Amino acid sequence: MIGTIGGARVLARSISMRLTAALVVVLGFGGAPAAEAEVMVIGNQQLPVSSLSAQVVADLYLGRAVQLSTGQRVEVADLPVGHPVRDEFYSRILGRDPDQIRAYWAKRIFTGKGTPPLVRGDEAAMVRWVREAPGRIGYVSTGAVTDSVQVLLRGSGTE
Amino acid sequence: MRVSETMTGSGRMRGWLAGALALCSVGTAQALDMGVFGDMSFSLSDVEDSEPSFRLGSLDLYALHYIDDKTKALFETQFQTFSGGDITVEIQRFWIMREIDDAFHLGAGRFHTPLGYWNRHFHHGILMQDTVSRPFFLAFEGGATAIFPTHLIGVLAEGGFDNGLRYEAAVANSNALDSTNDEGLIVPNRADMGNRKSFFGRLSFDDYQRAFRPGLTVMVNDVREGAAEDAVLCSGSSIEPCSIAARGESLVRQNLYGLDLRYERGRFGLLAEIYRIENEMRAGGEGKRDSLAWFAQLGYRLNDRLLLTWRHEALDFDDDDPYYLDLIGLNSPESRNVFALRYDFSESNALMLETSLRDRERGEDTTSTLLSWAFVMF
Repeated sequence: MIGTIGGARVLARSISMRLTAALVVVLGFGGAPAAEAEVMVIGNQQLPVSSLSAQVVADLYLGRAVQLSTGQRVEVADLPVGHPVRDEFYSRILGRDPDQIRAYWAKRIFTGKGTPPLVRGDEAAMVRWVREAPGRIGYVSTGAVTDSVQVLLRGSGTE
Repeated sequence: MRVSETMTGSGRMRGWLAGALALCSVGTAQALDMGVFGDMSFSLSDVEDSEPSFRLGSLDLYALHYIDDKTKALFETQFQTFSGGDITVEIQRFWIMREIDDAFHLGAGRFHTPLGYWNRHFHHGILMQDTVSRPFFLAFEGGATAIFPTHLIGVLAEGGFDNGLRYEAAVANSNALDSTNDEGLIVPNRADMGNRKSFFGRLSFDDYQRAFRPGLTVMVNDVREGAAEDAVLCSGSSIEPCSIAARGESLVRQNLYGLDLRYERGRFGLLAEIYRIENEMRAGGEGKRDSLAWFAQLGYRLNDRLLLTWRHEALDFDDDDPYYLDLIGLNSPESRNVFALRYDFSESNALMLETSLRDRERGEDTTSTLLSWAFVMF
């Protein structure tokens, strides 16, 4: 974890992460361009549900809920700030733009009501993370979905 | 910009800001969560000698970071400007907390006191509030009408359960007031002035899906004499100012019981808090005095951006209760009505217009109006 290191290294690591995210976006390794990306909300195969509503996904990603109606506790993860699939996810599923999300979490953190989801570096890392433990939920673009995870909701909200 | 320049006045402010901006500009959600809350205002009042004025509000810088998988640390520093041009920099919150499980988080440091709903949820950012001002009796220490310790230095445990039940409990340094001046309640950051600690506890039901959310607060607090070691005692002395008691001696032992309610349904919202306070005089007075502080706030959302709010606040106490006179110079009960209109430009900034009418049993009634533009950066 970054936090156990000194301030200068935190800064350097943060710069590095940001530059990496920017390169991912510029070079197109982060998935399909925003205009073409269809976002899939994915979950671990052991989750006791086969689909989720956009409202439930929004509650989980906004820190308003930490468990499903079945009682299953869940963890959710984000892609890095600036990633086109992340922007598409928040736009299509939650109906919010990046500035709204940033301000929302600033207020939640400041008032002690919660912290944003953990960030996975790219879509492949997101799929691996979801696959590794029950109760994990993430999102990726269509092309990044593998058989090791289940699709819980499509970006259009039709599933 | 050089951060190492002489750290006084505006130079200090520029230095802090340069550092903050450098960090924030590269922040990611996972690395370090930082933000700045601020506000700019225009004020009008019929208080004598007050002129219509533009004014800088507070600038509040915070950072939260998980330093390992289960441990987080937060600091919140506030820059405030005053009419004489002075700038103060104060650490408002500074703590470390271990999340042992969802039902038990344990932290140490400087926290906002778990005193009802308002104090631990709106903090110092006006953007979070529906009105520009806080209820007057919940003013931060040092404020003209501050009667409660809104911050604590000690250990705090908190947690929540799946059914929405939450608890917060804290053991903290006792508080003090310096009876030789009118600077208000002191929260000792480094050394307790006595061996009797203060206790704070709150139980609440905080399920956001339910319209009705109640909470219960208990506080046992010791207020001690904070005058200098060599302050002259009032007894047997004609020298002014003199202190009520020797430094560290207990002045007032406070027991507080509170109830808070939140109710939200459709366009309506209600927030109310009521506190019964028992002030047991230890020095500078005798016996017990009971007082009551409460507010009720009603909100009506006209549309997605416009919110109309009315709040009534009251502090009722015995005229011969020396605590309020010594602490904030109040010699009679008072109440206030606040009317506010809030317009949200977006999630990150809002314009708020507030008029408040202060009603005092003794002394002049006053009316003040504030127009404030509150925002969050980063």
